[in-house]
Amino acid sequence: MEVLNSVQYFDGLQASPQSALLHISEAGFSLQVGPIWNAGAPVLYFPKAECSFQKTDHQLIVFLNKKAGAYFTVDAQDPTATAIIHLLQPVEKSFATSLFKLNAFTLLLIVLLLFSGVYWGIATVVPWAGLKIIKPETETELGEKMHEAMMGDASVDKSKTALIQSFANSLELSKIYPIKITVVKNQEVNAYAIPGGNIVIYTGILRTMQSPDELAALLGHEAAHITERHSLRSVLRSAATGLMISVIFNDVSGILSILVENAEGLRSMQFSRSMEENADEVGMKVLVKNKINPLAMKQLMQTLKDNAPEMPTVLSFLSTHPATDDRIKHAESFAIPYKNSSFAANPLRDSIWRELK
Amino acid sequence: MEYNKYSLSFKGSGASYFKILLVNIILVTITLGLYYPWARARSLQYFYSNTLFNGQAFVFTGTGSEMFKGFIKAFVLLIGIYGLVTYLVLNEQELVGAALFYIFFLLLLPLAIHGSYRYRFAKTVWSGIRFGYTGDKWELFALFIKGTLLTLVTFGIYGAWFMMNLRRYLLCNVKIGDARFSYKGVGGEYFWLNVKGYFLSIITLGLYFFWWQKDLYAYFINNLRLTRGDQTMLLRSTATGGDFLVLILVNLLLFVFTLGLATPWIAVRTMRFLFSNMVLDGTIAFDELQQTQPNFDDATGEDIADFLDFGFII
Repeated sequence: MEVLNSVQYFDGLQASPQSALLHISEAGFSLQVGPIWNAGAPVLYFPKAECSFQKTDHQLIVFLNKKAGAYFTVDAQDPTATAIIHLLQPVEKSFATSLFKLNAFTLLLIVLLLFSGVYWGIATVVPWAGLKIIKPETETELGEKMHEAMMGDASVDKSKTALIQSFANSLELSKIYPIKITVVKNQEVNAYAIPGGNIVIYTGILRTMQSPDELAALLGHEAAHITERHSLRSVLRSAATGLMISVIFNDVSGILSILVENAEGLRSMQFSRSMEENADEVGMKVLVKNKINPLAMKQLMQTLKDNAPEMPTVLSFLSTHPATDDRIKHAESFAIPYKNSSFAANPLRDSIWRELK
Repeated sequence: MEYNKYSLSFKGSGASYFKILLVNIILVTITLGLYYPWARARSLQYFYSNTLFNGQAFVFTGTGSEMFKGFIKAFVLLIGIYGLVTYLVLNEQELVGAALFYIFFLLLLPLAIHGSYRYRFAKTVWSGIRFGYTGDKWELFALFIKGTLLTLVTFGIYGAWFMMNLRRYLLCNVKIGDARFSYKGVGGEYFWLNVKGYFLSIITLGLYFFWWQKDLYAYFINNLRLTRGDQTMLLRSTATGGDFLVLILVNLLLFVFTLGLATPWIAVRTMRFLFSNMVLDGTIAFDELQQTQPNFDDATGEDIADFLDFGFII
């Protein structure tokens, strides 16, 4: 006994649907318009290779030719619908279908996982690739532009800038990057490094410092952020995140301004703890090379720590340089092997220091 | 001729649309965006199949693979333009770059809209009958150039006339089978409607905004009609300013308090709102509609329009 199913048939010529009877065979679909199957009446035959289907919430739509002109529909819950899908798509190959079997909560979790994966991936890959691609010369050029943009509305102390520049020149801070100092008139206790060689020092931090060795330690520390490319890495990382955000919110035009905007963030940049300790260590090596006691780094941190509570509301050097106590201990243990080394005063730096104060 | 009342309704649910969006996001992410055309096809199919006119659902017959071909063409074209402009800007030719950019989009826009209308309507089927767009791309092009230039020269005032000329041209060329849509909105009325809406919104500290939206919606719906020979169907909006106030404020609250997760529910309730506040009546015998519009498979225009993110404008 052949199984017949009643379906709604749209012939693609006129709007009113016709009720028709459907017979499914291995090769395709046979349709006859009317309420009962009449052996003598004409039968429409559609080979399955020509047919395709679309399943909606309510019905299964079976298109009967490639141009999708004629189709018939059956209720999505009807067992016939399952039989038709099985005939037209014998192997369940769609990954989407298996996703739809999951509930909304699981799907939401997958989305969140994917997003954090993508986020992590981009935040890692972009800085890594950037460090490979960007040469120190390019970095200096780029950093110069950032510096220009950032110094736009700052008031520069020209005489102190010149003094500290010659102080820095006597230290041999970097072989690759031209270290350029800018002293800005600002009461905040802050200093930061821009990729490529620029170091910005606020007059506020100069005032708190007690000795030329502390200044050398500060310069050594900031220069290390440049030579170890910490600043570049941080800029690239926040640029990558900014990039992702602008892609997600469909604001591609904003991408160009992102680099400059992120450079602004350097003022209050949070370096990772390991980056800071690394910078301390490299800075202390610079001190040793210049015959300065590496304990100056410890003193610098102590001085800054003591001065920090005076301005709790403003961003201070310490708040952007976390875990000071740990770093002080780290500096102490670094200095132990040099306990018995001889350190010499440097007349040039001492005279610069006196002029600064 | 018999007088009929017709029904238009939306029966989709936020929960099922949410699921569709989630699956789409997952697939688009893991394919690095390549799945996007199929995702779009699925969303469109969902909205069409849940929209019922006289109890009969619409069918979107477009497919992901058609839209993928258009997607690739649109992508290459737009990357080419952006590449050229970026090259010019980097080589200190900012002005040339910017000029080229605007001219190119001015030329591209009407062609994208034309392509989008042709594809989208050819793939819209109701009760087995295809919609179609019969506009001419060069006529639309001329209308666009004239409109843009006059709008620039008049500091935006001509924009209202431009908008209505565009809407009239587009809608008057939309057919379903052998029935044709027409629109009789005109620039002058539309302009004063907006002037009134703008100033009253300022005076009432924004409260009138919802009544302004109501007017704009009504101006769209009430001027639209469908004719087939001597038979007509008229549309009328019954939404009030208060209805719009509730709709928009609730949508806003839903969005804010769910951090955007309620987006699919917002889309669904907005659709419901628009359809349920519409009365359709007239003398067209819809079961007699004849198939007249051809099929059209090139989705490039549709995809460019989607890339440029101006949706499906009317």
